[in-house]
Amino acid sequence: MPDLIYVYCVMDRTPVLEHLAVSELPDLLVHDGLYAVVGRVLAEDFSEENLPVRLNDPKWITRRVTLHEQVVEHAMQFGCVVPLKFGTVFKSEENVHAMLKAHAIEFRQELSELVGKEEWGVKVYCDRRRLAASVAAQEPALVELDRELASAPKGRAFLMAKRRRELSAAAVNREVARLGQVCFERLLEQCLKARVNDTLKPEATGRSEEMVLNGAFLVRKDEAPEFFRTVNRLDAQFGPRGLVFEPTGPWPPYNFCQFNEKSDQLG
Amino acid sequence: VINLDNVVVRGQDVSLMEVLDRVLNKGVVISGDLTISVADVDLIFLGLRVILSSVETMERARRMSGAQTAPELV
Repeated sequence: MPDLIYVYCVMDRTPVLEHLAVSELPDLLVHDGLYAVVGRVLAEDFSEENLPVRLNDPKWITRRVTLHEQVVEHAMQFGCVVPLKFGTVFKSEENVHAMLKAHAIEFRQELSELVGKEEWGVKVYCDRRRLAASVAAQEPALVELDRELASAPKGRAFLMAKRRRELSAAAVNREVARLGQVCFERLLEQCLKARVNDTLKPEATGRSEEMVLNGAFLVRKDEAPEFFRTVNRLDAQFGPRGLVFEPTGPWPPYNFCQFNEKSDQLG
Repeated sequence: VINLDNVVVRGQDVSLMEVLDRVLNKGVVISGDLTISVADVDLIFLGLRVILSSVETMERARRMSGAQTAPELV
C-alpha cells in the first residue's frame, strides 16, 4: 500500500538525521529554506477508517508517540522547531511542499520568536492527607469542632465527626485550588508565556497524589536557572504541606506554537 | 532540592505519561490531507493504563552522539 508522509516538525536549519537511533529514520523535505522533518507511514495506519482503531491500540500509540517525541527532540538540537500536532499526514511530497509554501510566513515568524527560548513543564501534585492535616490547624471551624468533639457524648460525636469530614473535604478542596493558583502565578512571573493544561486523573498518572497543576512554561534559556530557583522556593514553602513538584524539560515548544490561535495563552 | 542538574533532562528517563501528555494533543494544527481528530487525551490515557503502570519510564534516546539504541517499546 502506498505510503503517506507524516510531518513531525518544521525548522529553518538543517538537522542531521542519519545517525538517529529510532525505529523509522526520518527524512527532510525542503522548501525555500524551510525544512519539514518527515517520515513515511503506512496509509493503512493513518486512514480515516483505521486511525480510530489504532488510537485504541496502546502498543501502536506508544510507539508512534515515542517516535514523534524522539524525532522532534533530536531535530531541536540543530535549531528551533515548530512541532506539528501528532498525526499530521499528507498524501504526497508535493502536498508537503504546498503546505510549507502556504504557511511559510507563520513558520518563519514562530521560529524567529522561539530563538533562545525553551519549554518547561511543571506538574504539581498534592498529597491530600498531608494537606488536610495542615488545613485542620488553620480552619477556625475545624479547630472549634475538634475541641467540641473531644468532650461530646457518643451519639452527638458521631454526627459531629461526619460534619467534620465534610467541612475538611471542602476546606481541602478550596486550599488545593488556591495553592494551584499560587504556584501558577509565582511561576508565571518567571516565564515569557504560560499555559495551564488539563490536570490528569490518577488513572492516567498512576499516582496516589492528585494532580493540582499541569503547567507549561516558555522560558528564556538564560533565565532557566531562576525559573528553577522559583520551583525550589515553592517546593520549600509548600512541600511540607503535601505538594510535590515535578518539572521536566526542555521540551520542544508543543504548548507555544499555534497559528492564529493565541488568545488563550497567558503572559 | 530541584535544580537543573537533577530535574528530568535530556538523555534521562521521563515518564511515558509526560510524553503522551505533550505529544498527543499539542503542537501546531495544520490541516493535512487527512483530517485526524485525536480523542480526548484522558480517554486515551485510560486505554493506556495497563502500559503506563507496567512501564514506569522509558529511555529517551535523544543525544545525537549518545543515542545508540532505540528505546525498549512494549
